[in-house]
Amino acid sequence: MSNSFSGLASKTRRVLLGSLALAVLPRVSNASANAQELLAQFDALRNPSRPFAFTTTLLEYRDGRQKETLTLRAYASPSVASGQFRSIVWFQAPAQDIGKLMLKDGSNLWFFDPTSKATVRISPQQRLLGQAANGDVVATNFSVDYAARIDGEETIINGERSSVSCTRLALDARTPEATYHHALLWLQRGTSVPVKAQFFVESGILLKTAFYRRLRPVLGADRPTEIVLIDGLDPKWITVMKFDGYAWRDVPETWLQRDYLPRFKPE
Amino acid sequence: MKVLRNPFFAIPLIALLSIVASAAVADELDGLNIADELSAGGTGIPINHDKRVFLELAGGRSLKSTSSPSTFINASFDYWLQHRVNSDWRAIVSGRLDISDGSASSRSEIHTLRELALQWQPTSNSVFDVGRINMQFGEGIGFNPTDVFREGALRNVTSIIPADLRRNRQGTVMLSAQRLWEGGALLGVIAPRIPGNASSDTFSPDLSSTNSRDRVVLSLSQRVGAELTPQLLLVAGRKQSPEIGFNLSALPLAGLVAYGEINVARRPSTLAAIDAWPSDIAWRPQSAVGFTWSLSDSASLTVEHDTDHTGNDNDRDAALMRMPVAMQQVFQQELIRRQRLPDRQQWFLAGLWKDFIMHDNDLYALTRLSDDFSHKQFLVELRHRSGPLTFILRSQWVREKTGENSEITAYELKLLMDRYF
Repeated sequence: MSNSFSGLASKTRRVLLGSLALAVLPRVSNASANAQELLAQFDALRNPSRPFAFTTTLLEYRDGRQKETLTLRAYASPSVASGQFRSIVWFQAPAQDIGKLMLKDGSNLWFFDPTSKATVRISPQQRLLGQAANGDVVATNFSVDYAARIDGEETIINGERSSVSCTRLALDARTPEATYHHALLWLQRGTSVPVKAQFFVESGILLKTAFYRRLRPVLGADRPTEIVLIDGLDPKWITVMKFDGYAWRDVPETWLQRDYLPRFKPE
Repeated sequence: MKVLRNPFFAIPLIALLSIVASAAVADELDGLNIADELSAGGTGIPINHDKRVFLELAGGRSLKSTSSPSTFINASFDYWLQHRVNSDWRAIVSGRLDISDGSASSRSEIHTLRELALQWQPTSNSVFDVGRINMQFGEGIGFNPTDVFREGALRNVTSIIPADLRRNRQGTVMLSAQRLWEGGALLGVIAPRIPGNASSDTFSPDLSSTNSRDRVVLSLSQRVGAELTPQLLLVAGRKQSPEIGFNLSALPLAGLVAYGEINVARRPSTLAAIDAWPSDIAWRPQSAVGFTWSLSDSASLTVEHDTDHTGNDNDRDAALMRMPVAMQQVFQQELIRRQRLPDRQQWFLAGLWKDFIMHDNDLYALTRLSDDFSHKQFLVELRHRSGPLTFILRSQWVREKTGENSEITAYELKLLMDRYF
């Protein structure tokens, strides 16, 4: 009962916050092109332009304690044709998920289990662990999946708890493979360094808030090496995505298709 | 926003919004504090990526209309191991041992050798395999007409859940070669006949069950545009007419995966295949068309329509119901052996709800319904995760019509505990 009440209060709060933002924040007109460029720069900062590999560790905190942990090794390669990343993700932990694979190839997202040898097509929106969806753990370029417009300037608290002056972008999905219907993205003003994002379902309900933090020099640029996801309904439900093990890694084109999944041979 | 221009409304509203905004910021700061602790806590112990082993213990009660109620206990040991010999070669062994005991039957022990294979990958675009391989094709969830190696694969049926039927099965002895290129692949398989009869000995590899005749399979996949990767299958073999299979899936809407597969061949009906009906070889397509819809990030629904023209039509169904019980049992066993439908059409529905009522609980349900409702299967299970353990409470109900006014029903309630190592 208390959960339901706090959920309702939280929902009301989000709707009210949305109204406040719409009513108070200044609008920047005729800036869509600039917004799309900013979004492309944000993509470039998260994802190198050459094929690379990295490890993602997802840590989930819920009900007052640490719960599940998931470790994934991803191999990503940008596609010149689509501008989007193609990735193969290898599950390394926990024990029940060892050897499973996820493949993102354009709008195709496949899941493979080495025990059953079955390959099943899945949607990017389905939840993987904590608040992280399937689409969150594969390298993606937001500028391909979302249309952006500048939505205002705002000073907010960042993931390190400092006040940062930001440009706020409003993003709307323009392909079915976009993980979220729409989102708000705060970039540090004057740069494309991501600070915070909020992701919404079609009805306008806040799904989760993300803080991009721990910028470190990785593969030639300062990139966020941690994302903190805070659930929209239950703010005590936290998922931390830690990124490490970055390396330049050629990803053979032949890897990035469903038929290769039973053959996958990690490094 | 006229209301904001009226001070009578605007002042209290802005005050309220300020309080709400402060609370949201406080929540975010709390969340970041928790994240700091999580992040500092490390990521757990190193794990061997070349093995996956799990133990399952189960107990339950079974009620059948043809016998008295019984209790049973099961223990299963499942393993998947790979050994990387060098960068080009790897060996894989995978299987499962099921031990069951019950008040209505004697103790049984069945080992299913899922895979025992050697793989050679000399370049990134060519792969060769030899051995027993659990090769699977198909996009369908409840029925896979293009899963051309499914015949004789089920050595021990432990569940009616499609994922379990794919996992708990034996592979086919084969030699395969695959050539891959950007966006496509060609696979060739030779699966020879292995003489002998099906064996129920505990540790028998039971090779004859999956290799009852010589077969050659060719599979071609090619990405078409950015969205689609159709797959074409050709199967030829002794004592069978050529088969053609086709697979396709797409993401037409956000959160909606649509899929379809079809297999066409000249073949006898299942009833004729067990010599209970005159020879009736004809074009008998099999198909599965459906979609999986993500209702939210934690709930999904699958709806699938299956057809199988080797299944019984009204005449064959009526004839089967007039046959002795022993022949009806042979028919049922043949359906399991070939993984076919009893009737021409079937609906398959399945739903998954993660975090059902409380965290760590998943609810899964499925049903299979033949078009005339003479064959029905229902399953509901509640999964609860607790650290390395998963507890599953499974309820399963099966009804088979066996005559104009008779039917067999079986109900099972089972509690399972899974532990991965």
